[in-house]
Amino acid sequence: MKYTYFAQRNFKEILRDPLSLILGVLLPIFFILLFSTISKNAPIEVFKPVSIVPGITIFGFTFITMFLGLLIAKDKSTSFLSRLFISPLKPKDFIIGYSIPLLPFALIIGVACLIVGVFIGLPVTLKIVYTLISFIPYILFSVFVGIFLGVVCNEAQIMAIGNIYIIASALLGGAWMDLNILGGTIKNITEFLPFSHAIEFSRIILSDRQENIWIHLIIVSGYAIIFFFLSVYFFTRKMKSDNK
Amino acid sequence: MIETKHLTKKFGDFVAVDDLNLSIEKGELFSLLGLNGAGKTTTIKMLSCLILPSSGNAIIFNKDLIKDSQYIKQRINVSPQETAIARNLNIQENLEMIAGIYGISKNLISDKVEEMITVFNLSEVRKKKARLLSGGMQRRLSIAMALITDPEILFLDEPTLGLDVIARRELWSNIKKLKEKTTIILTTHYLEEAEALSDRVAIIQKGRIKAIGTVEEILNQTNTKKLEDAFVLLNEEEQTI
Repeated sequence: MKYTYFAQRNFKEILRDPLSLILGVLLPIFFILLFSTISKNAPIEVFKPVSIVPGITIFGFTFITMFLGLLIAKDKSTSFLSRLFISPLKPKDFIIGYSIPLLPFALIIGVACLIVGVFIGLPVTLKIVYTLISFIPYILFSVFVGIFLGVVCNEAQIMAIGNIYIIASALLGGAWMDLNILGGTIKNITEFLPFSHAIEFSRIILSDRQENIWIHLIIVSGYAIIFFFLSVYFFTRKMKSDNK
Repeated sequence: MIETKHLTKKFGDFVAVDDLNLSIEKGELFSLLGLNGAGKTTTIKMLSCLILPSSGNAIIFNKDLIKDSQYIKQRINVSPQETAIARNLNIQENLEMIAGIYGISKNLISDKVEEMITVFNLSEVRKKKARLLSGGMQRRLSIAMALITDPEILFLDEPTLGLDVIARRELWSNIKKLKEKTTIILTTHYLEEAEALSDRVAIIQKGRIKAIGTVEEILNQTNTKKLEDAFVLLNEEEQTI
């Protein structure tokens, strides 16, 4: 299959950028250890392993969006993508070729964070495996947002938007704080965004809480589906717009 | 092999290529010459299925450029003006990637990679990341990436841009070898390059062909002794008008 060669290239490009590994894997691990240390002196609920590990892991996936967006934007600016538009690759090959390499990378982030979670006190049960699976909708969402941004924006725009996106996901996701303290309007906004739902979905699965997971799953999956169609639409339009 | 019929490309009100009619034979090395913005690269982009014509069409391999682009894409390749390479992949990986994308079978890929590395004298740097190569090496890699798929038509858009004299001469030698089995459409600003390599040239101005033929025919038409003089004369004529 032709896209596998393209996917291999994208995987290597990301792996050979040391910043990807540092930001993608080491930063979430650092945050988990940091908040875990703080929780020893300040026993805050959200800093407990069962809360902080899913929260920070979901936050870590945000960097996938940045890597992918920047990779596509660079491919556009260096004409590498134009070269491939002349090749027999079809739009679906590009979408798959850009998406697939990020999945093992996301898996590495997820597994690394959960292993660190075990070291700070997560019980080793099947729930850890279920939690890893629960990350999938948000990983897909992150990948499709990355493709969307990469196609629509240039490198400088992605750096700017990416910073806002990372801050928004951190503050509005509730990875390391109780969203109730935001209160009123901001709290209501978080209800409409996928970040806090992705975190809550994984937290419920990892914990013993008996709560409805479906609303969280539906919202995150819904966002993933919307951005899948947006990325396909804008990528196809990009190929065609070069045809105008 | 290639026949354009009133091929035209407009960007808004700007006409980049205007009613282009030409035919290029199999095995020919055909050069498109012109000043910046004359329409050379736009012509190549249309003929390589990257952009659609605004009007007109072209027949390539007896296929319709617009309707049968997938068929045509499989049989052509391009070395773009910019060295469009995967910068974090080494030479071997870049070549393997392109070969795979064009559907060359797995057991043939390594043979094709070795062939390109030998032809373009890249063996000593084969494991070096593309971004660390000199401009000349990157250019050679870019052309090797276009050739590894054994294209029946190869578009070379300013292949020697930014190369030093030695690197340029080496590339000329590579291009001359290719002429034996590949139809080549070349754009260049270096007129001595076109003179040395081309079977025929077309001088384009503001998207229209001003002169077409062998170098000798163009010299006769313009009553000049060098292609550069003919080129300057044709461009001055237009500016005077």
